[in-house]
Amino acid sequence: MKRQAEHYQDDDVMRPVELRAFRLEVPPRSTSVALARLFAASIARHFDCDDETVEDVKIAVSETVTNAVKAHLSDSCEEPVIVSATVEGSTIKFSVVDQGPGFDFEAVARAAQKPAMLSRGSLGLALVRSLFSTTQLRHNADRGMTVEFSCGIGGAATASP
Amino acid sequence: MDLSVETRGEGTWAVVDVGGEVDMFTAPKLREALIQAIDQGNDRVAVDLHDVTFMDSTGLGVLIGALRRVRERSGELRIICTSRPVLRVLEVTGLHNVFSIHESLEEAMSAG
Repeated sequence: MKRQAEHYQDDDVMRPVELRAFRLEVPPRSTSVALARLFAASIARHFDCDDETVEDVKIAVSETVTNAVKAHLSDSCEEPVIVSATVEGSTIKFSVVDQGPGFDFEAVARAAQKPAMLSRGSLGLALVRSLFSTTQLRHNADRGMTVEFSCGIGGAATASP
Repeated sequence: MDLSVETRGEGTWAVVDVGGEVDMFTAPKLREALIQAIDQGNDRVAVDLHDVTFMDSTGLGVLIGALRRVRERSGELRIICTSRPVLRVLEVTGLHNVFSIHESLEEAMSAG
């Protein structure tokens, strides 16, 4: 690391740029969930999110990527699931994009209102919404769904959408 | 990433020791171990989650399934857990009110 720092100091052209946008494409497999979780947690830690926020990000990404993988498998879709993170001001916006068949928002929202959120299939999304009030879902223009949520950097409060 | 699951006997209890991360990929291994423990006739099952570093709703679903299965046999399932990430998920979902959660195996086995 020391050698690298000296190198950058000597040559401004090689000065590292601050990354603000990250993207991971994973195959629709159950093994991809852990990889996506690691990716998102690493970004959250890099931007000084506190330990509890990092844990919450891991849960939310695990849930959304699990749903995405299930959606692809149910539709025999071999296209990748895309996980991305974008730093905007004092927040990180995470998004998970799938190309599955989509689902009925209202039905899931109703199911999530049931005691202890035990309804099959709704637990994961309800969990994400409980952890991040910023969670938004939308149908993609072409195919599939996008789930987005944001967290504050370095203890900053997360704004509601 | 891996998940370790081992079942042992402790008095009248079947104790399932779990370690690692529980998600979509690893949850089937936990489900299989719990079903096996219950179907072998154990009506008192303790699931030790001390060494679980991560669990999402897929893992919770496995625990809910095991709880239902053991209750169908009028048995009981207790959870031993001090892992912060796991307790967090249980609390956020409200499932900490559904499961009998204890800090140690001794406490779980002696609870009324």
